[in-house]
Amino acid sequence: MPAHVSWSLPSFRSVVAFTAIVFAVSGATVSHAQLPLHQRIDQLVNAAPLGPVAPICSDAEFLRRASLDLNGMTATRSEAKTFLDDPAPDKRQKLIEKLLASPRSARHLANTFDVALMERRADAHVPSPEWQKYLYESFLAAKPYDQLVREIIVADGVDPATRPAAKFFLDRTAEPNLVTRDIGRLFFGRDLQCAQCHDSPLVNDFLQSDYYGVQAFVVRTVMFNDAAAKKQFLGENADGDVAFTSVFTKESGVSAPRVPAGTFVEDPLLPIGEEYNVRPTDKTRPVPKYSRRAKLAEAITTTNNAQFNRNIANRVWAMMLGRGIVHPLDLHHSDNTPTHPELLDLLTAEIVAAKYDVKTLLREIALTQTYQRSGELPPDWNAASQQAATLLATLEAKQKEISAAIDQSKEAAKPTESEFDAVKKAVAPVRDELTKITATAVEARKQWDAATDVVAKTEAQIGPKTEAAKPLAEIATKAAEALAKIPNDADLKKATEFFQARVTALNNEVAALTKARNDQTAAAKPKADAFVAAATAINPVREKWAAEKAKLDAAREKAESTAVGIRSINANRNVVARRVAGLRTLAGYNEQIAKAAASQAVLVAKQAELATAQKMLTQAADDAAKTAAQKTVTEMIALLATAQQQAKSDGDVLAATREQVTQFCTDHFYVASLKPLTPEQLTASALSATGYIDMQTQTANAEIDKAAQTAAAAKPPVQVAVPLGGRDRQVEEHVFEKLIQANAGPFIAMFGGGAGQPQDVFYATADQALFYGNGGTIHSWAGVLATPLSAQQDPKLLAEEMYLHVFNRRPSDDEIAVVTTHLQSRADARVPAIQEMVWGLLSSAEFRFNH
Amino acid sequence: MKCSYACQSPEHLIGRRQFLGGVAVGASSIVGGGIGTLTRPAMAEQLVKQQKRVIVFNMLGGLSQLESWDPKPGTDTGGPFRAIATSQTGVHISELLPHTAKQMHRLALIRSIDTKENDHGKGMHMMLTGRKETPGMAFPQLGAVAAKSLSPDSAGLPGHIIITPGGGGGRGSDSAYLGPKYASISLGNGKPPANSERPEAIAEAADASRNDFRKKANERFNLKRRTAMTDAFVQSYDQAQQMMAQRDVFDLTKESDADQARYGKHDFGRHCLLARRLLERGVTFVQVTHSNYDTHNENFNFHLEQLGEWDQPFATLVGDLGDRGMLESTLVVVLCEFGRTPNINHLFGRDHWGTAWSVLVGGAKIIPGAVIGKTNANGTQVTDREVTAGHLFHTYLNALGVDSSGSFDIGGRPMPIADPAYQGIKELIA
Repeated sequence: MPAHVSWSLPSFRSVVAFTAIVFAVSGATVSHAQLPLHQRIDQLVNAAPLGPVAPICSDAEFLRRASLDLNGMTATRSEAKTFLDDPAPDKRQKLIEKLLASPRSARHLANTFDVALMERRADAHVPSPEWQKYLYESFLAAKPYDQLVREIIVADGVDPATRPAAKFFLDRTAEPNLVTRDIGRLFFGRDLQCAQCHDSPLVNDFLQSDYYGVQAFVVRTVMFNDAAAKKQFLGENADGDVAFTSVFTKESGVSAPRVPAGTFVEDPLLPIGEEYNVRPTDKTRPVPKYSRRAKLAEAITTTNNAQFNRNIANRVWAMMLGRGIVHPLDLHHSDNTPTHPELLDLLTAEIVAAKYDVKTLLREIALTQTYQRSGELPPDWNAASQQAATLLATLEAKQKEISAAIDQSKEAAKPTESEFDAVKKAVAPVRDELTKITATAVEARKQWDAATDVVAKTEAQIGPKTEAAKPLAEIATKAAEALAKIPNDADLKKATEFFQARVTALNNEVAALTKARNDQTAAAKPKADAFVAAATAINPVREKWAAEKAKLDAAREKAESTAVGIRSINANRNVVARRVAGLRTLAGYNEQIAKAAASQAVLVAKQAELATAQKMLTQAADDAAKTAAQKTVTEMIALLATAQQQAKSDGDVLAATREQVTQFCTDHFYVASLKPLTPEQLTASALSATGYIDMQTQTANAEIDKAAQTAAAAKPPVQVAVPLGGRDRQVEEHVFEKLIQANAGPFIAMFGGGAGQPQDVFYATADQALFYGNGGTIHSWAGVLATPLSAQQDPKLLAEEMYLHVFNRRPSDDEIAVVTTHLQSRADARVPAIQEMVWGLLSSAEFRFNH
Repeated sequence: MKCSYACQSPEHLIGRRQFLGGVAVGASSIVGGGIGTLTRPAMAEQLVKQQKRVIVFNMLGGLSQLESWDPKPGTDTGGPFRAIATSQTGVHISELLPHTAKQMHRLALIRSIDTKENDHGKGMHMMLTGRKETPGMAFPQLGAVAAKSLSPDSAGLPGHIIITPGGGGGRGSDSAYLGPKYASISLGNGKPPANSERPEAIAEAADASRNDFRKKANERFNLKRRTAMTDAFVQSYDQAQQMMAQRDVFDLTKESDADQARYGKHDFGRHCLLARRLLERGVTFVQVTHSNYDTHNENFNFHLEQLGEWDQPFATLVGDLGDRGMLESTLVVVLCEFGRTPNINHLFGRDHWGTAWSVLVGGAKIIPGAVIGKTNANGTQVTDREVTAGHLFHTYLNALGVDSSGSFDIGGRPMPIADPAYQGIKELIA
């Protein structure tokens, strides 16, 4: 039984049995743990395919595909030639190792995760280069994915060393809805705003509570403008809850934090008034003693993280195969089922076992036959179509049984639902009491704090005045002594009287303040007592609530496991329904071929009949014969038109079926999918194809050598520190900064998706084509390659060089012929002619897509 | 609540590729022939009439309904201007719009809008997307939705254009999940879109030669790897070539002196003429902005001046569309972010007012001369057929023959075309 069917209520047992049957149809077995992972993956995908399976791709296809998927760019001409000419049987494995060891793989992963997590939003508080550098160094150091996510969630932007990681929150201005939705989508694969897509209020409500559960983790996080640093940081308040109203049951409540499909993370009950390390004021960034955001980071990798794990396993798979086992990547729910549930379970388990090392999974996927499939299906689907017809009958029967089981399980869930509702109602008074008494204590604390503040303010005045009184009294005494010596001095007399009066006044002031302080202290006492009483009174209610809450949790757990059960059966129904639909199309294929062939034959026959009738018309002996022949011809023309229409419509149906079957096979990974190059891949690959990458690599090496020589020649010699990753990394950084980063801007603007929108949707627009045609960039890059190519006089060799550069493959004979003709037709302008061809290849579909 | 739109059903998933080319689910019937590739004028004229288009006049700042579509002369809120009779019997509008008054038999009014929104940004978001601003969500504007739903895949010109003073050919960010293909191109100075001219360094023959080589490469690749994606990619180059061939569509000097005089030489007049030119060439959606109506003081002087400029070019355009038989396929909308308060403040101004205001529509399937809804005697509240931005958005799409209850398929994600909580104003649609 698949691991994700984890519920076990008695009423669902029969459905569990169905589940086993359903998955047995795919012939999958998950028990060969001793085999390497890539073989286990192939077993799950290939053991009993539902449709035709493509053969393994050619070396050239593999080279280009793996280079793009693991290093973010196509191979250079010399890399292509070396690989294609290498006779070693294990050269694909070696290539995978080489690509994964290259710093380019860290760069490509950094780019992939940047685009996935930030979706090309405009920079707000953390500049992209700093964030991308952080990601690059993380992947270079093989930082586990879970650690990366924890860093991204907890970073507050204060420490410059970890500030880049805070981009996820800071650049979304910590807006709770936005952050919640994106955490749901990107880290848990659940677009929680899609909760309306379900058919049971129970299921719906739990999905809705998933949304509020995530929001409860982040709702207390706020932006803080640090005036001195002139930067925005993240602060966090110690209070603030997520209140919600169910759109289904109109019930409302407050949600505690929890990750999707996880359990609630309860706040610790801190003493009232001691919630903060740093209290929030205009000038201070609030830092609570208990941070819910930190708890989110903890929750994703400690407990209840199944959905977190499934999301990353599915995303890594999609990086390589072009689509997820669940697709779209952010729509994991029971109405959008995985194509291969067991495969997703396997990958999920394995990425955890690999301690979230993304490259481990990438390597194993690259080694699979599934990854190495050609993009072309075998031409003959006859056997697959026959097999589909057989499988279809079995699955359709299962479909009926599951539908019945769903009704049954919904019925069975009803008592649990009402029980949960009843418990919710029953515990409400105690929860309300706790809320009320907590509010009372918080208010009492506030009053006491205010009273204490008043005392402190008075106290602050007494001190200086008391201290001033003493020297002033001395001055008054001294002045009186002086006056006694010269009693007629009017000015001195006045001064003496002034000092004496001031001394008296000051003493009175101190006395008054002291009295006030004593009064205020006395007045504060009852407030302190009131707070202590309120705080003490909380404890029994907290205890009472703990008992009630245990009841609530138990009821909720039961209700949720029921909901999970319904979702699970629903998911199974959808898995089967999707397979049934695909099989139905495939099963009808043979029939459609026959039908199309038959209507084609009718068409040919009708054409012949018409020709005969027309011949008779021309040979008609008399008017009567002519009229009869004319009538036959007219009839034949009408029949021919009908036959033509029939043939066309049958042909169209056949073509549509082929298209659907191909899509079905692509969705099930029996055939390689076509993946559009990302803007960054387009930039780097065009630079690789035109020779720039090679040139800049040479420059980088020369500069490093020169720096080393200069350092060695210095007196005394200077020790040059080699960074992590060594020379490869230095060269990669040089090439990236000087070439790829410097040129990617216009490509991103043209080929990237909208800011904050999913970036995995393909668009072809006229302005992209205009940029390629008239923008100058591609034309001039093509020119850079044209010059060295023009040195090659033999058109065949020239064609070979050009195709190795641009497509990483050798040209076919007919392609060589086209190149030869093109060169001959433009013999007067050889270099421009070559430039045109290079531009043509760079602008072609074969270059635009990864296949 | 079970959503009615296609939601990841297996049939839907398997048919997905058919929709990749940009066809709206549930609205496939409206995707018809384009005129971009056609050169024969008679045929092109025929298709111009069939292809649905939209022109939106965006009265930035918030046009006063009392000085335009819903005058209340002689009341405490009415202001100094009179109401005048129009070519539609029984419909009166402000005397500030004498030219538009002569076209009212072709247009219709919605006088019962309550958006409950008095903020410029939020009001504009509501009116252009048909939805309330929601944190964490971005919705496509009407122009992007119309371009995606109505533009033929083969269209050479952009489907979504905004004409605004200072606009310089750049791509807007108003298409949200519909993607860059449907984002607006902003025009204003008559500058054609970027890169639409062949550089001098590349001779025409060389351009043809390299494109020929490109096509041959694509044909070989497509023999075995043809998909909706490769089709869309190949098509984008054809569209680019069409755009290059039609660059003069952005050049107003190609219009007759008489027409230039009829529309007026000022910015707004030229922009209206440019809009006509674009609509005639098959551009799906054109938005023309006019500003500024945010008249917190001197409301009456400003409206006299602003509408004095706006009235004639607008009426001329409506007249031309009608006379040329294009109005039955072209939806006209005059909207803004909100109306203005009935209360006249101490600066003789009117303030922001989302509570009871009006929008003018016409053309396509809108019933000519219709008036929807009412406000009370002094315009302080809606008394009949209250509608909000969601209803209006559905109505615009319904007038264009788009089933607004359908969804777009965005990479497998179903996205409702319009807010499912609302419906169109049925009695306004023929």
